[in-house]
Amino acid sequence: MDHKSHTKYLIIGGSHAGLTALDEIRVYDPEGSITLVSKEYPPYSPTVLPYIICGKINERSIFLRGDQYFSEKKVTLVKNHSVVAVDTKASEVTLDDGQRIQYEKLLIVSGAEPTPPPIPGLSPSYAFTLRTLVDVKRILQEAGRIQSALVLGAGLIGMHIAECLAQKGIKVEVVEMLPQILPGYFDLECSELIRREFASHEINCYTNNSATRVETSNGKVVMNLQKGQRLEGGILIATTGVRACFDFLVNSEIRTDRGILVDDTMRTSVENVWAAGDVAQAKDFFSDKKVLSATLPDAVVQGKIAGKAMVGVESISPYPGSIPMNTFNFFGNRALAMGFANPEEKEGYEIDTMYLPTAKIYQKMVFKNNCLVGGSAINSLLDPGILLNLIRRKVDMAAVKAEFVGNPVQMSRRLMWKTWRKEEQERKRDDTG
Amino acid sequence: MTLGKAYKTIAVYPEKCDGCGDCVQACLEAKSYTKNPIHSRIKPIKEIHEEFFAPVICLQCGDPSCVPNCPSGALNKNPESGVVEWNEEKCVNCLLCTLGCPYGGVTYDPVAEHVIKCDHCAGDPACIKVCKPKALEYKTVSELYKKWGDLEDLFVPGVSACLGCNSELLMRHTLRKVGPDTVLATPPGCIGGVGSVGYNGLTATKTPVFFPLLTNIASMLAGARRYYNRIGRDVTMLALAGDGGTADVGFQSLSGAAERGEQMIYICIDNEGYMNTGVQRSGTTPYGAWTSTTPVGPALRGKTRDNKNMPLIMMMHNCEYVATASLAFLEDYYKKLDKAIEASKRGMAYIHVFSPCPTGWRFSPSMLIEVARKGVETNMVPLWEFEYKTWELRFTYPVDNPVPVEKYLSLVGKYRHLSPEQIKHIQEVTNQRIEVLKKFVKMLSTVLGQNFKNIFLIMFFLSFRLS
Repeated sequence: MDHKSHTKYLIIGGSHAGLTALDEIRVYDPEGSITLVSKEYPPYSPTVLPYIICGKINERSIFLRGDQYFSEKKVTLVKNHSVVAVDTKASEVTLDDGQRIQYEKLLIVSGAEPTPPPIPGLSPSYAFTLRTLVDVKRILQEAGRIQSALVLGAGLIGMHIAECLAQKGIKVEVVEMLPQILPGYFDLECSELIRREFASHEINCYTNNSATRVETSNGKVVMNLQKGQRLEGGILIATTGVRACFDFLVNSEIRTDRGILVDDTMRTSVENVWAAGDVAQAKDFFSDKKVLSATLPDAVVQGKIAGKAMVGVESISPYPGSIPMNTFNFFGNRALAMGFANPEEKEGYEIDTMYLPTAKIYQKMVFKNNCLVGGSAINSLLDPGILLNLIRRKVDMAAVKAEFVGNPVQMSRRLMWKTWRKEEQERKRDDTG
Repeated sequence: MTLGKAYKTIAVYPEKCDGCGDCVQACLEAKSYTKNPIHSRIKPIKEIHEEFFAPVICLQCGDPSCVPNCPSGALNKNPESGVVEWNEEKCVNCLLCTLGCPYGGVTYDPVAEHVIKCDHCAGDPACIKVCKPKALEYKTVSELYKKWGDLEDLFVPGVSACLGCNSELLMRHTLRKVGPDTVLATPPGCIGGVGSVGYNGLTATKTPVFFPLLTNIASMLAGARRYYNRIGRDVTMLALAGDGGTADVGFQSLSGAAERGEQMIYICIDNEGYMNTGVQRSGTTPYGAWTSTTPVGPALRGKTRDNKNMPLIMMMHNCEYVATASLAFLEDYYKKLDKAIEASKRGMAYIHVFSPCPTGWRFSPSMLIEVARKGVETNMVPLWEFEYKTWELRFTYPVDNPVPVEKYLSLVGKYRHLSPEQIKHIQEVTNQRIEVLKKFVKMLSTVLGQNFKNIFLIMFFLSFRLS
């Protein structure tokens, strides 16, 4: 099929960043034509997938938008197709069926995909990943059959699946290359507490260890570890990491690194092309580097900025930079990590830690130059969104630090009122009262 | 999302909150049937060290950040009620919504083991009914506009203002707010010229109004007020004067009245020139602007001098209240009128209103509000206020990411001829003036705020910077 169509806004990908951008475009441009190309339809969030495995939500009710939404928003949907090439000179993309779409403005929100580690013997026929609904169905199918499972990679998804499978009565073992579980988000102390909780539910985590060879014998997956152990499981789930999906940009002029490089308004090196979400490599909050950020809240923030920028809204607040953040729930406990919770050099940082072992409460706050820069917590009642804004706005906490660590909820709410809430209320007093 | 619909909201007035906690009890009764405040959807901040209380509650944001953060679609803004609704069936308990909300509006309830948030009790919030100090009110934004609309318009319809006149909009809104117990002075200029003042019953104003000379607006009002003070009547003195009557011809009497602390509200309607006599330049005409006396031709390219910074000059007079305004930001203007009315009981309140003129500035009447808005968004017209009582200067609409001045200049015909150098100059002056203001804000909030309260120090500091 060699069919060519034209659209004002073209969005490649339909998860959080894409949908937020779409909403934002429609706020400022109610009529301009929008085309959305999505491999899967209806759209859903990869974040929700482990919850299907543990039965917290039905796979039919995970969809974020439906036909009615897209027709109300006047969006032309190109379902179940993917983009194979982008020609930035002609402002045109080519789909997998040869169809070509010409755009005025392009947004790439193609996300990321799992990368199975290069371990000898590892074969996709028994090594599962978890990123799509198809993956979920495969795992669920196997889950009824197996008594044990191996998880490679102790990240948020890996640990989450381990718990989900354990709840089904499956014996799970987790292998992690780095010295701690949940690296990148949680600090060592916090991850150690989480690990203990997993151990008490008979999930062993082999950290500082890696698989040297994987093979199958008697219908089981056998994994040989670097330190000599030999683990067996009915299936193997590899959650060792993801990579940004932008293969279709190989012959384009869009500059890429590990992701698509973007500026403060999510614009790529090409004038009429933007990128956001897991595929975008954008400014880091704490350094001058450009980083990949694979969190849902960041995808939303970026999608929103990209949407505004694509319409040409003049007064855009530039992207403040990516702050690592996540919530993680395990066996009825809640963990939270945000910002710079694990500074490598202690110089210049003030760290306050509180731990109540019997109540399983842990709280760590990290300050630099009297500003909150990060923290982690288990079962501590906090307002994460307020803390995140204290970090983002670099609120000076010199006078209140001691009280803050003693009663973070009251003190953070007070700071919230006295800074941005008051400011906003005064600015639009008559809207809110 | 339905945009523009007037939803009801729980309006919060922290200054009225006494921290009694009745709202929490009411919320618990309505929502949880227990006494444990952890289940309350409204959470007051209790401040031990100072008298500060504020209820923390979901704002039902117009553009909520919790909703797009939800991976399972469990949060949605109801297009009918405006309430951000939580669907227990769909919630997977990931708590990402709590990471999105910067107001503590959605929180985790460790006993119920899921997030909780305010749902307006299906349109009848329990907390509103028990709030004795009225720190919580349940109302829509439109009710507030209606409140203004219900005030009597003290100008008759059919005044002879030009199409799209900012001054007409301004005088109607101003008198609505200031009210009928007012003596109005409208000197020669557009306001007088459109028929606000006349004789033999032909006056368009429903309050006592008089027509002073350009030179004695403030001194005549001062005399009238002193008379009312003597006979013991509280009557507001209001001047609606142009920039000529304020910054040029009438300046000596205004400066004197301000220095003596005469009780009045003096509003300068700054249309940047003598618009009703044929568009001549004034002291507030900006650099580069075309007027009939700063023509554009082979030699001259509009005005060659920068305008005087009249509101800052008035701040230097120790006025009780000084503010700038633009009618693209009406709420802001109404708030400033409130403060001006109160300040005029003690001394002079001066408001400098940026007042684009379609006729004299050469732009379409339909663009009036857009021009008034762009002036602010480029930072050419910063919105700020100064209160002598607290010695505080603050931006009321801070523009952190201003758009380039061209975006404003290109809307207005009187700037059509500007060369890139002239635009550059205007941008530089704009930036410089914002910096000066920011320095004032910082200085007044630190050293002088607490210790000296001496205006002369500031004057010394800035005497070489004011342009």
